[in-house]
Amino acid sequence: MTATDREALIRERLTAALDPVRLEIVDESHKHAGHAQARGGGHFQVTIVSAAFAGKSLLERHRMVYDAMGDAMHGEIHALSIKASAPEEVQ
Amino acid sequence: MDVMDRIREQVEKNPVVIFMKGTPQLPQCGFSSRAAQALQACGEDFAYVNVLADPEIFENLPRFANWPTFPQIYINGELIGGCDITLELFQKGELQKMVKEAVARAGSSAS
Repeated sequence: MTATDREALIRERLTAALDPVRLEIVDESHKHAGHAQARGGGHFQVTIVSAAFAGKSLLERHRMVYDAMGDAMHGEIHALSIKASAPEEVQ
Repeated sequence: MDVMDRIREQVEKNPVVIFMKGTPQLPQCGFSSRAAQALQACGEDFAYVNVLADPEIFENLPRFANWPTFPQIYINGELIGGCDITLELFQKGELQKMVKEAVARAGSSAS
């Protein structure tokens, strides 16, 4: 799977589960090249704004993102850097 | 001892523990490095487990608290989160408070 495919996979799963009003995905795999467990890539930075995060703690928001990614977190996606906000928290 | 019991023991006996790739002195991953630095900046002692040196914990920690990635930071026996949450709490000044309270609580119950 290429970085573009992985990015599409993240977009598809997060869009389906969390209906984001904003979703930015940046491939950061190059920052971890040569890293023992990097398995050829799969580090992404995700900035997501969704009404689903309103009233949720940081831990709950990150869990919602990981839950939405499902089995992909155990295979194609090695790590996500997550910035999850509710719409009223961002301008 | 079963690996889940070994993880539970670390989480319960240490007021603050980070499961990370490498050590605070020699981190092997940027996320682990940043999270360990934030904990160090809180000014209290904390425990660490190098998951790269313990393949069994590396394999099983994600299902311990249903959290798929490393590092994982536990305070007072509870998962706080990974690198992003730890840094966000640190920037808000909350991590420092949580760490100090956890260490103080452990100190008073031990004596």
